[in-house]
Amino acid sequence: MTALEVRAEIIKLARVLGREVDELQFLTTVPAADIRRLRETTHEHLFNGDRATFRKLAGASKLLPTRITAVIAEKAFAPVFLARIAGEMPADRAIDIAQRMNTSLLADVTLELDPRSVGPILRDMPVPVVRAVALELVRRGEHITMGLFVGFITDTAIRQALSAIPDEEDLLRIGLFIEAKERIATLVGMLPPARLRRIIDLAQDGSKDLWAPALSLMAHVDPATQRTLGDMVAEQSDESLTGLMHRSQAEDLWPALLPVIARMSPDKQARLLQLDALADPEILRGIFGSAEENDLLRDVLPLVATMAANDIVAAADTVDADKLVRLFEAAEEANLVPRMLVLSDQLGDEERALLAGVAAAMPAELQDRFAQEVDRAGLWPQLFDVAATIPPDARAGLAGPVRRIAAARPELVEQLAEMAESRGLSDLVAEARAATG
Amino acid sequence: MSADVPQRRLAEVLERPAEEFTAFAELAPAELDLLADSVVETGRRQQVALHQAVEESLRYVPALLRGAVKAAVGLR
Repeated sequence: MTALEVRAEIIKLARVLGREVDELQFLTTVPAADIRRLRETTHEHLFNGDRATFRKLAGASKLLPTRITAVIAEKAFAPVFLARIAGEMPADRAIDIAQRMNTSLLADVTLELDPRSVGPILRDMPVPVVRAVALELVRRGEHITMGLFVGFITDTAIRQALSAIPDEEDLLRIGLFIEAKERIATLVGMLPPARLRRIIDLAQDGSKDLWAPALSLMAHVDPATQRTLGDMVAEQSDESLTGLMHRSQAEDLWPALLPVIARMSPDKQARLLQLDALADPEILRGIFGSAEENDLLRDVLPLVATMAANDIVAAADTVDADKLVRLFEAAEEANLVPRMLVLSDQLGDEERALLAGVAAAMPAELQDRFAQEVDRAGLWPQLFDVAATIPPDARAGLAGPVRRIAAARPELVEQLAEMAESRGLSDLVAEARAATG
Repeated sequence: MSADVPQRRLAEVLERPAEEFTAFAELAPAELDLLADSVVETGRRQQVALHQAVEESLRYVPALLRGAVKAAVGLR
């Protein structure tokens, strides 16, 4: 989510500083949390200097009837100041005045509010007013502001606003800017399945650039909803899914996407594995690099093991050997074979057994090349460590490949026998010795 | 606050310790200046507009109450 969050924070800071977003693109290297802190600090600095004046203005308003205060507010003060004065007033009075203002001005003021300073006003504002302002902000395309306020209005107001906003594209664009991530699950939970499906359909539309916003929502919903949404994604055409894989790579979206894939139904996961895009070394590098950086290996490695096992073992009669070779080539090119071995300590026993099943079911060509790769990288100790943790029943599946590789390269047997036996792999050593006669 | 801290000016403009802005230390000096200048310019624009708004608002206050309101906002 990092790239997404940075993008959203740059847009919000540009608004506070009165700059174009393009002028602040140099901030893409700064963490989102620091950009957000700079925005909040700037906001406080800009207003604290004049706070005494705002307080006096709020106090003076008590001398006047609410009707006149509302007129003065509309005629004399820029929305940016009304927003600040509101923060210095008792909530009930501010609400009373707000209800006398037209929706357009209220929307202008909302754009300038720091929601943290007017929490009670937002909480107690009548729902019809919130709904009307929300619709006006949507009409203006002010998705950033709406995202800021999600954390400060009641569930009832959110529900009303959601049902009043007809276009799911707006919901997606708001979702990207929601700061109260903990509210996203509730918000998405209020949407009926038909609207969720429409969101996923929109996310696939390459012309709309909504894949990233959709992922920013999916990343924060509960696991069951993540599965529902992930399955909807996987039901799209191969062409759409391939496009999404490439966009995820180009926009560095794997940290948001990998947990969603990990929670998809097994048949939907298997569908993704069929994509040629997954044999692209750049994409593989992106997936594993991101998994490592974001501590998602526990999500990714079991997925790879399970998917590969489903694909190769359970559907052995339909294995596309050429594709497996291409996948392995891609993995080699991305230097993933040694990394997978080094990282295999992240797997549980069951997952290692699955991998053993995959290794046993690999086409002979792949087994040979895997052995060469391990030999070249000097990874026999790591490979034997993994093999030693595989339950004996599952390990028996490796006897065939061991015999064949030993017959083809007898020099390896004596070279490696002691190392293997010291790790309790006497069964496989015996197989290798039998093969060399 | 050390003079060679790159984010020093931004920190000074915002009246905060430079240590709060270490995440910005790798930015180019011109980029840090752009951030600091933006804060200063925005603050200046805001002050002018606020002064004008206070003056303007008095035109709409009923004559009978104008004195009390002026006193309340500190204009006399």
